[in-house]
Amino acid sequence: MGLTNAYRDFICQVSTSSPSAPTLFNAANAYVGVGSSSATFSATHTQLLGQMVTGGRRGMEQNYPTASGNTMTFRALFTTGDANDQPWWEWGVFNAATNGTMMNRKAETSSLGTKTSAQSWQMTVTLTVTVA
Amino acid sequence: MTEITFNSIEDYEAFLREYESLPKSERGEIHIEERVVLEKFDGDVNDASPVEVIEIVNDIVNGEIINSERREVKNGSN
Repeated sequence: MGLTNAYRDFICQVSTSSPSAPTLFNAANAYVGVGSSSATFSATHTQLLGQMVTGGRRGMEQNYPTASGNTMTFRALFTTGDANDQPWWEWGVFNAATNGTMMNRKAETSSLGTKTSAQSWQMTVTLTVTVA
Repeated sequence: MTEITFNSIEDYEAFLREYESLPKSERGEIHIEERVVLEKFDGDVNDASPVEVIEIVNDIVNGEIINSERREVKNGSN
């Protein structure tokens, strides 16, 4: 996992509103996406490599995201009709329902499992950033 | 933490070149703790308890995972 170059640029943009204020990773615009690619992360990635099409990106649950000091938390619920029948290998946080800026991408070393329409999966992502 | 101000993009790029030429042991650190919790429910969530929980915690320093822990709990057992 890592933060992407696109998110690095986002930090510059949001700090200056230049050339324009970017779309924030807020309650209205933050999404968690899941995909089926296990390819190793690169900071140059701008999207998930195997983004699931049907319900593969879900918006925030009520009262999310949250931020406290240097910690951000995002929570999304994939209901019975979402992101089914493919193994969940990768995930990331976005600021749009499609495309947009990918904050981070994590390709797991073993699959998180294959969801079916019999289940709902809730993913909570907490990122704490420290600069020393 | 030291705050650095750049007067131009060129100055910033020069700083980056110098920074990237340093051994990693001499660079400042960006440390990210990434914690993801995946809760799996049968049917809809409602007030049901998850049938499986996967929790993964990664410690990432300067873009490299230095420690990763994964814990899975199924039906109340570790």
